[in-house]
Order: sequence, then C-alpha cells, then structure tokens
Amino acid sequence: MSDFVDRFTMTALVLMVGITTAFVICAYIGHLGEVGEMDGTDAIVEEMAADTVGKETTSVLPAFLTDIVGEPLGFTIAGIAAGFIVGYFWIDISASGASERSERSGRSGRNSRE
Amino acid sequence: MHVWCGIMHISDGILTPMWCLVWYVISLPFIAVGVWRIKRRMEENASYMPILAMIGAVIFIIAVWHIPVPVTGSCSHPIGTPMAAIIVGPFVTVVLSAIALFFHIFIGHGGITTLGASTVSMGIAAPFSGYLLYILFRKMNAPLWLSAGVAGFVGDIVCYLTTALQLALSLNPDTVVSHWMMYSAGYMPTQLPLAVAEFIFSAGIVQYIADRRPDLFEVGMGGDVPHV
Repeated sequence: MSDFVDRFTMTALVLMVGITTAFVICAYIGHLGEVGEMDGTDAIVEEMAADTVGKETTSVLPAFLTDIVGEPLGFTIAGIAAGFIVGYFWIDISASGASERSERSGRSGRNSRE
Repeated sequence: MHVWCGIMHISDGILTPMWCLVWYVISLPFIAVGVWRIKRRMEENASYMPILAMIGAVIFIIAVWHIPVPVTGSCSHPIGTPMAAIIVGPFVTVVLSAIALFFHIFIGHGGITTLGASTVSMGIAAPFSGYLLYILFRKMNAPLWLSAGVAGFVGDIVCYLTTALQLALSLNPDTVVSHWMMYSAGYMPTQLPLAVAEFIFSAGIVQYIADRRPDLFEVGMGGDVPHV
C-alpha cells in the first residue's frame, strides 16, 4: 500500500463506511416502520418546556441550506464541501504521520544498531 | 405560528434574553482560553491544524446526526465532544463546539440567541465532565478504552442534564428542580441508548488511535500525553 493509504487510513475508511451504512439502514428501517416520521427529542422536550409558559420557538437566522434545497440535499452539499476540506487535510495527516513514523523507526533502528 | 426550525439543540425564542446573555458570558472565557491554546499549538506544530479540522468536522457531523431510537419513536444525536476532549483537550473542544454549533444554525439546528447555552451544555459541561472522569479512571489504572467510553457516556448524559437545567432556569425559575427533573426525564429514554453508542464509539476510536497512531495524541495535546 502507498504512504497515503496505510493500514490505519484504510481501516478508518472501512469503519467510517460501515458505521454510516449501519446508521442509514437503521434510519430507513425506523422511517419505514410503524413509527413513521420521528421528531427530534430536543424538539419534543422544548415543546413541553415552551408549553409550560406559553412560548413558541422562532428562528433569528434562516436555515438557508436546508430551507432552500431540503435536508437530504443540504446535508449532501455540506458533506461534499466538508469532504473536500477533510480530504485536502487528510493527505497532510496521513502522509506526515507516516513519514514521521518511518523517520522515527529508522532513527530507533539506527540507534539500536549503534 | 409554531416554527420548528431547530429539531436539535435549543431553538431561538425559548430562553429568556437574560439567560441567553448569561450562557454567552459563561462560555466566552472558555472560548478565549481555547483560542489562546490553539494559537500556541499552531506555532509549535504545523500538523496541529489538520488534526483540529478533522476533530471539528467529526463534532459537526456527530452532533447533528439524527439517530432514530425506534423504541421511543423519536431521534436524537450523540455529541462527540468528550472524545474530542481526550484527543485535543477540553478547552480546544469548546472552540470547536462553538464553531460547529454556529454552522448547525444554518442547517436548521439550534439558534443564534441560544448559541451560548448550547456551547455551555455541549461544548463545556460535556467535554469537561467526560475529560475529568477519563483522567480519574486513568489514574485508577482503568484500561484506556474503558476510560474513554465512560467519558463519552457520562459526557453525553451531562450534556442533556445541562440542557434540561437551562430550560428549567429560564422558563420555570420558581420550580427549577422539579422542572429540571421533568425535562431530564423527557430526554433520557432516547438519550440513554445514544449514550451507550457514545460509549462504544468513544472507546473504540480512542483505543484505535492509541494503538495505531499515538502520534495524533501528541499533536493534539501538545506532547503532554501521560494518560495515554
């Protein structure tokens, strides 16, 4: 394997895909099941709290991403943008980490030989 | 009109202006210390920024992820900040949480007036309580995975206990304790299973990094990793 895709990176990516798949499948099952649309617990408790004093929630800043394109597409756009950013830095992390490790092991190898 | 713009975190319009301000004031010193630490670490180590960006992205995603709990018929999210505190330190985690929570507003989660309150619950109470327990467990020679897992579990629960307290303090000042209990009881059926999930992924990820890439801890915590 290359320096960019070492064992750590590969396992992390496989785990990430696995966990994401598990969450997506669970969410889909939950959505299809008799429960149907699931409210967020935060919203449920907030509603309970707001009802005790007759308050209502408002929105000061607009949720422009999800309001305009909808939540699934909004998250997809955010995910793509975040993916590019993380991907850009990922090379730094994995490559510098790998080279540092190889330097360190090379140094310790030399020290032990000396 | 009932506008459910924020299905995660506290929405605008719920807390009174005074309490919104109080939570902002409480969070600011923590953010200031966190920013100072980030600046110092960036001068020391060029690899710090990518790690920080990664952890920030992790918090952003984890804390906005609707995970359904079919038994209760509702969904909620883990927080990820106790795990982040173990990797980059609790003060830096406050800064990352505040940034993540700010961007959550634009996808319909939380509000700008309640950003201080959400930062206190998710960015201060959760990581600090989790991190303290992590240190305590490590000092008692508990395994790394167990210490990290307990930090994740307790941090998650503390986050929601703090949110319930924030709601009770602001909305029911005369009956804070009873309403705190009531709101906490509302959160717990969904949050407890997610706290277990938080235990599992915090334990797994921290142990995995310690096994495979312990250098990430050195970069994240500034080389001060006696507890790893």
